[in-house]
Amino acid sequence: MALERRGNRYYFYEKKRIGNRVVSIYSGGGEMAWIRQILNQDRQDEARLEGEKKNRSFEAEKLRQNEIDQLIESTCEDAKAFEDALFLTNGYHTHERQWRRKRNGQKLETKRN
Amino acid sequence: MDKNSKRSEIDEVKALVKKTDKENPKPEDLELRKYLDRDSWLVEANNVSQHAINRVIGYYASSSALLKELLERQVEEKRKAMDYKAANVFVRMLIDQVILNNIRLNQLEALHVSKLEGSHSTEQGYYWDKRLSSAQRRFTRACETLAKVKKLLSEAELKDQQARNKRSQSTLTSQKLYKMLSD
Repeated sequence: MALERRGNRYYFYEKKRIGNRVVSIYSGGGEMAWIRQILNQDRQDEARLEGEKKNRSFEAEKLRQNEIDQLIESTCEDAKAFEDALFLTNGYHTHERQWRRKRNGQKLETKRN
Repeated sequence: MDKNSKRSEIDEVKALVKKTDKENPKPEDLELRKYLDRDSWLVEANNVSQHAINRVIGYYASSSALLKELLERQVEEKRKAMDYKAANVFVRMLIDQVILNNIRLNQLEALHVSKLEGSHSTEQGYYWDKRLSSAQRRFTRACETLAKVKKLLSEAELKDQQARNKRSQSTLTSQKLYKMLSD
């Protein structure tokens, strides 16, 4: 949307996309054009603030979600450490991120103190 | 056990797993079993899972006591269905993992629907999709781990039983032989 000058007068045109063309729609001239321009500016500012507010709430939501996921991820990691230890002590080894039993299937011996 | 010492123990286990998961591990690295034998530690790990479950429920049902109660009951039901009480500490920890991931997955499925039903940015769409897929992946992994560990433990139990049977069989045979010789 724009305020356009034709000779000594100002005119306000709304821009609209129709199909693949942008058309200008006349919506006021002279003082009315200025009023339309101010109203349009206000509407744009409002939309921008609304967008920023939405972004801020999305960021806060992201933080909350990340916190929960990190908590879950860390408990899963702890459990995985014990799972790995269990498989290793039962004669398994990893092959391409899969647990496979060793051919002789021997259990690992613990060092005796 | 304080949080830091627990963390350092987990790191120790992880380091040992790395050192041991190779062709010929050094004998001094083969100390993994001692960690698994430490039930008290596993109990502590279970407490951490319980804490995580409480946090997730707390977040999900922060504004509704009814929803909180329902979720807590669901957790109990799921535990009962998975034979929680009869399971050993290790399996209990894994059952808690499955339940925790299940609650989180349900939560994210609901959030995914509610956040993406109206107008939203591409960034938001990607974000919720990513969250949901990682929750699905975690849940699947937890279920697989529980199944694998249960299978492994039942195999080990079967082997132990077979060995016990064999021993008692040979004792019986030697007793019979002794009786025959003494008669």
